[in-house]
Amino acid sequence: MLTLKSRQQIAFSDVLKKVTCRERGENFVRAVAELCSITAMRAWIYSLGHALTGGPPDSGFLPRIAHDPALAVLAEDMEPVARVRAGITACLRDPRTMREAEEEYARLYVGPQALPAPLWESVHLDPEHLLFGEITLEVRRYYARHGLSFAGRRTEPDDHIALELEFMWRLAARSGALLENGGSGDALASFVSLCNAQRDFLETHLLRWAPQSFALQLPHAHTDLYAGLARLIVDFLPSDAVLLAQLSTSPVNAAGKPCRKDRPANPRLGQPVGRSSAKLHRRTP
Amino acid sequence: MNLNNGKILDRSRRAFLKWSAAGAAATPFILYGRPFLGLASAQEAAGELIIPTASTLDCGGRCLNKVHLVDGVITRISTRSAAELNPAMPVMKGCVRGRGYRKYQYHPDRLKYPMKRAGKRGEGKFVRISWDEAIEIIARKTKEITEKYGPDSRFVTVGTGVTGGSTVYANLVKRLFNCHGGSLEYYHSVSMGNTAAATMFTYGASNTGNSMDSLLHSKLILLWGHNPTETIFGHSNFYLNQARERGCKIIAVDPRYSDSAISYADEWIPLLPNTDSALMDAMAHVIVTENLHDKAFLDKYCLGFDEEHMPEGIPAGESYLSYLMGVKDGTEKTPEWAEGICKVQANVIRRLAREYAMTKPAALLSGWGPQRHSGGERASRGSAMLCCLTGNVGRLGGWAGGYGGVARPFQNGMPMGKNPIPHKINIMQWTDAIEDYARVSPAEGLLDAEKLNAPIKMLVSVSGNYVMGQNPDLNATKKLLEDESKVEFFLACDLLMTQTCQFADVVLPSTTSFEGWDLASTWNSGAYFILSQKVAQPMFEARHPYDWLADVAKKLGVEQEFTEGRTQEEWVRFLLDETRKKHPDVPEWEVMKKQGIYYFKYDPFVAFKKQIDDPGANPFPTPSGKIELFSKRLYDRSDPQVPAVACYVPAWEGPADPLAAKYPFQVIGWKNKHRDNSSFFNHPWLKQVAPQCMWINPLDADKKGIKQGDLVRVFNDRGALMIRAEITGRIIPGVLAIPTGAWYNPGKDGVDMNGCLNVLTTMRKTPLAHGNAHHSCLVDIKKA
Repeated sequence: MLTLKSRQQIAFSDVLKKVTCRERGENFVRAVAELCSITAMRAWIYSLGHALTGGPPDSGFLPRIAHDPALAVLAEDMEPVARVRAGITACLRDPRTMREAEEEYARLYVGPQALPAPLWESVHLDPEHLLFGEITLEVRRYYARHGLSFAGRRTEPDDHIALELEFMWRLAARSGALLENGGSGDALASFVSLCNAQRDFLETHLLRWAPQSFALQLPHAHTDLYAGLARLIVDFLPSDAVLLAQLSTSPVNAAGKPCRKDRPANPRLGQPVGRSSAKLHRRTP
Repeated sequence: MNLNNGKILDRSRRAFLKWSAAGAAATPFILYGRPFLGLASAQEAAGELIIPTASTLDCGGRCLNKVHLVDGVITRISTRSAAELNPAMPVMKGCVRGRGYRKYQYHPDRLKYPMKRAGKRGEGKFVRISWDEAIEIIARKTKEITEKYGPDSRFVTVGTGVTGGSTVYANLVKRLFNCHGGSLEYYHSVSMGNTAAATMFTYGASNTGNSMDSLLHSKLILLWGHNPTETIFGHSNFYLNQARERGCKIIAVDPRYSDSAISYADEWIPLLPNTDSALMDAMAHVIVTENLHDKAFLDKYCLGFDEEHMPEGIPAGESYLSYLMGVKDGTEKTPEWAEGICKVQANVIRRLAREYAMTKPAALLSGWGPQRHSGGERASRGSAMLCCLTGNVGRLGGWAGGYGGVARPFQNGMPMGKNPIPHKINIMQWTDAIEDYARVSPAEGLLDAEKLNAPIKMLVSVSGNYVMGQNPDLNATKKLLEDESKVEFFLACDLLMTQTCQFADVVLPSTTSFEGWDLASTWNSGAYFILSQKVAQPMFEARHPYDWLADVAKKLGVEQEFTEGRTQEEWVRFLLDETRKKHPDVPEWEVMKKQGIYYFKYDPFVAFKKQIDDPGANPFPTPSGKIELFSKRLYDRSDPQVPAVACYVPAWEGPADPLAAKYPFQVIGWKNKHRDNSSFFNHPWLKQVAPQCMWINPLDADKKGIKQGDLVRVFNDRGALMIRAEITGRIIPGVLAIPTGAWYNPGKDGVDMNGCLNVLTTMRKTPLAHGNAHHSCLVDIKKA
């Protein structure tokens, strides 16, 4: 079975090779386009996760997601997305399924009964397992460093899964937008820096709790929509971290900017750590 | 992961090509769903604010909490430091409960949104609704039920979750109803109603307590079923500690070696629950026969001690002394007689009686445990009788016994308005008023009416887990509520999904004391109030009950009457201003916000001092003007359960009840250090403070083959619960003790799994007050 993890990794590292080449030739342009599409794909998954965790299924976004061609594309290779897609299709076709999904959303995300798995980072990670822990304030400061804030923070914690996924989407979308004009040197540098920020947020926050928390949710999620979603979060976040890690250990990052004719990359900077990256590095001029 | 797998490479390449071909990469980045994050406004101050405040939970203390705020988040709660203690004005500092409030404020299970019931009542199925819908439902149901059954079909039940200040949340609902035709109200406190009622028959008043600093003048203190270490009765602990340090002897009379006994007592005298009156009578017998009683006091102030001091028209042999000597029944109430009943050895009774009678002044602090019995009224009268017998009433360092409330100044309370419905039921009658309202009669406790006009059809519980938690016989209550034709609308509002909320039709998320304003005070055995400040916005969609009730009032057309144009904060400012009119040195609002506390200053206060100092000018407010050890009012009732003098009568569901042949163990509850009633049951720290387990004496455990930590089934005809055994010599044999306030949690077979005592307790009413008898409960046990 083709897992998302391996696929992403291969694709991203493969593409990275291209954008580190000296010549801004055809390969470079293709590579930037691919980088762009990988970023879009990643962002799309974060967007999906944000929507499904952030509101009940009947709040109007399901038809829009269903009509997005990205859903079908990703569903082909990603089993959890396929399950989510099946869930969405069933909800839109059959009001009874929609009602079941609404009930399940209430059970997993709303209450009033105790939720089977925490939806807030601090509840999972903070030593006191409370809402509004010290970690919540760290997340708030993290958003602020990127010029973002949650207007509802006086009454709701900033570290809800939907907000953290949205934050990842926003950074990914920003980084993707940088590449849309073909990826100038500065744009690529900013892109990399934003990717590093995403990696850092994943590693210091999302990844430390969300996969474990949604693994706890899995036995309680029975609909395709939410079982698929939980599985997606469990699988996707670690693989995305690996993907972003490749970037930060790649020469693209090492040079701070992609290689250009007038400024060859310094191979001593940013020593790669991983096996695949090591290979990658050897091939870099 | 195999990076060299060409197939995977190919497939992933194809996936991306497809992705690009599908135009996905070219489409703008779309955020599905509701966006939460926006552009940050200017950087906010990151410094820490420390705000003095207090909770309004039903705790007898009121500790100064200092809330540490960072960017609107409560990061820590500290309390009064030792250095800040002023011994003349001992403001309390937080115990494990107070210091743990943050865990409640930010509990992940807090109710977050209004909910309406989706399944059968009690099934636990709810759907989220908007506040608009909730208000609409409440207003519509209120109107429908009121039109159909009248305003007295509406009933607001006990809500002790928020009672520690001027604004009792549940009373806000009564205020709304009072603006809209009134509601059926209850009287009687399930904490102390029996003793409050019984004490009236002795003294004509129920506030028999002295200010706590008077204990520093005591030479001997008896903690009789009194456990202030855990219940926190105002300043009790501060002064008990000092009394002990000054060498005052303290004796605990209690079926349990309580935390208070550990903290203070030089001696623990265990007795069987429901037999306090026998011990009291035997002590009286020793005191009188050894001529240790204060005859001058009895002659001057009391009615009914001996035959020479009886009301007119009462035949001979009815005085207390005649009872002690067995004039009518031929049984002298000797220590040997009592030993067989209460299990305190006769020689211990003698020693205790002599010590109490010969050490003056002595304070017999009668707690509220012994009065939550079927014979609670007799025990209450008995404690007052002993205080009179030894002449400790009206005396600095003494104590008058009975209820023990202190008539001290308070801040102003939120006005309730006037209820146009004059009649009231005893709290123990609310289930009758639902099930068969014809059964609710004056003989059973109905006040100011011969009968009810309507059954209870609308039930409101705000900040309370009484309905499905503290009410006795929960299995019967459950059945009653499950019948949706009986209570037609049940509205509950709370912080967490209690079992009471599980049975509601609409559940509303309430606010903590950090999310609203109030003037918070100790029980009456304290002496100050603290401005309880709004330091945080209500979490999620929680709203202060005042605010949603104002919305309901608007729909009912009584908004102006309900709010009088004030916001919640403006009401509390108004209450502070009103308090300032009575106590001009109470600071203004802005000063209170910084200073936090106002301490009422008064000299040591002794109950009935006036009556004792000058009885001619100040008769006791009884029919005779004297302390009525013999009550003609009780005599005229001719109820053998409530004799005219305080004497031992075998209690129903006590050890002498024939039912004990089938259910040989008494089970009692106690209000414990890790909860306030049922608040904090799911508090992670407090669960560790004291796990929910059942105390059982090693002799009993051996007999039943129960080992430490074994799961035990405790049962009687009313229900069963499962609980772990704590084998301990801290409890008298024949008695089991389970901390009160566990959340009822029936398993599939209806057996409670949390150790909620009230699946076992009875709804049978006490004979005088028609009150609750939670601690008169016979059970058997079996190792599970």
